Amino acid sequence: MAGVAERLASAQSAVEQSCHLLLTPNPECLDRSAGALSLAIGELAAGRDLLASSTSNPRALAQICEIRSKVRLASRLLENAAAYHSGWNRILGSMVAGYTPHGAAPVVRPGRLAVEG
Amino acid sequence: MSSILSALHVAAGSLDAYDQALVVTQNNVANSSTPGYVEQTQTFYAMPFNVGEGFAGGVRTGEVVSARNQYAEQAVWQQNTLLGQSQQDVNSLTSLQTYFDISGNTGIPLALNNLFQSFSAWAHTPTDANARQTVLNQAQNVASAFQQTATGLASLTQSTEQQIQQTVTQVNQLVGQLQGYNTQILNGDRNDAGLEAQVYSTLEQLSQYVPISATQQADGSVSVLAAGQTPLLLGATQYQLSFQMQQPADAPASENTPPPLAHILSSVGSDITSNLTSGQLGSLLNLRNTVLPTYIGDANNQGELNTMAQQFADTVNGLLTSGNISDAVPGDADGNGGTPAVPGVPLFTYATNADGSVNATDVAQTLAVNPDIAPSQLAAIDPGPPEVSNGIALALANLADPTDPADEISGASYTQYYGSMASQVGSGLSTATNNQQVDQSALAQAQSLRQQQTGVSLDDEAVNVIEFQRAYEANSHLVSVLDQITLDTINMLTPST
Repeated sequence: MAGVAERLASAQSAVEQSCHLLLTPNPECLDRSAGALSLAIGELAAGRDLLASSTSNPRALAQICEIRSKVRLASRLLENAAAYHSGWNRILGSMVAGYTPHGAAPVVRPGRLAVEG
Repeated sequence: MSSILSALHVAAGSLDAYDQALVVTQNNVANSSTPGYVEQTQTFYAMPFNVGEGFAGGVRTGEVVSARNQYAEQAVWQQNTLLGQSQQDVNSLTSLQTYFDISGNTGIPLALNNLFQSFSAWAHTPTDANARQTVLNQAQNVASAFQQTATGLASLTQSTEQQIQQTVTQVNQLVGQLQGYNTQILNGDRNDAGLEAQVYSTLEQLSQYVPISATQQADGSVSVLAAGQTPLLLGATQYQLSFQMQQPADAPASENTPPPLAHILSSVGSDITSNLTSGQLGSLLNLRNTVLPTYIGDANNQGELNTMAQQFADTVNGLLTSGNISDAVPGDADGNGGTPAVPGVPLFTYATNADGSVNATDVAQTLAVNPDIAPSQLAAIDPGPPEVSNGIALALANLADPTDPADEISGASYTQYYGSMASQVGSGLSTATNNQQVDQSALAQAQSLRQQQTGVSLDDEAVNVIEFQRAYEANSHLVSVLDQITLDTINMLTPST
């Protein structure tokens, strides 16, 4: 069974991998990033259960702080990319549906045609 | 026969078209590493084809289309501006930190500590000439430490002003280059991919200094605004920024000459300083107009270093002048031959104006030991009642760890107050360093998005945005869980105080 240090190292590595993937936020990388973040949550949750019994662990605290700063980086990258694509979404709406005097038109989603018979 | 000639003509036309397309492709390959260059695509259109009516078809070249995505460019500029700001913050605060040693091994904290120790030694042997001389020597070191810190900060202030001037010059030079490109475009070079690359490369350089927005006009020229509202370039006309130092309009009338503040003016003389909050210029303006005045003061604020220097000097002087150098000697029974007690003299001096008022922002830089004081003139005696032969020396030694709120500065000892100043700088530098790392990643991400988005088809994008929406929601939920779980764990591991 993995100890606290291994759990935290694995969580940190997973969050770092997510940050790396978020540098290229295409759908595939975003899916893989979600997988890495899920893994980090699992490792952290397990690590926290192990830590609950100990009264003081400065090394673990330092490592958790490091992980938290990486989570903040992931959060910033995610926000930036989401804001970017949200803006791009509006532009696409304007380009596909035309700009209206009242602002950007909503995106026209690709429709589906079903034929039954 | 004519159909054979037509076919040959069509074939020749098609070869010409593909030859031109090959030139465009070769140019793309040759410029793959050119800053600001994006892929150009040769468009084609079909010629009419109707054999019966003599139209033999074929293909001709249309316009060469640039794959540049203005929206993606703007996103890169925004991140570049933030990175320019955090990089400058790190550079500036690293310089500032050299004047605030938090270890206590140099500068003001060391000098203060040594002076308090000399007061303590003097309190044990109040009449000892060596102990008195040591007090004067250490007081001299304290004055020198304040002077050196104030001089260092003044020098940093001056170099910051020079950097602001250089940055404004650099901005004007880059906009000047863009003006030249615009002139070329307006003179007919609007479809030159190389020229377009130079324009966008220059815009990217410019964005690290000031927040910019740029739009391509119908005539092909680029309009550039600073902070979204101040024109820097419209068509072939450049609007230069300028820099000047001036006192704020709400500065109180005074004989003092506090340090003025930095102002950036638009080409029509409007003050746009408050709009420039990001980029390298925004960082320098923040350092010069907000961070440095915290320590050295300005028209409305004495500055923490001056406040500390003045309050320390006044407290020490107040204690010494309330004491006596020697006791009164009573006269004989007839009232003859007696001498009064000799009062103490101030240990420290600092600059005052002609009317005797304090030059508040000049105290630290002019703090000095009273040139008229001799070791024998240090007043150790507290006249009381009851009189205590070393009472003043003891009170001075107790300033190291004061129990009387009157001996504190903003509720702290002098050492703690200095430590708080130094930790502000250290904490600011730590934040700036973290921001720089995050901004570097954010810029890399924006560049990657630009790369992904350059020249993609709208159909592909319409499908992608739906996938992005779902993926962002999933990631965002996971990040928020991680944020909470790390915070809970930190709270769990942090000992309660």
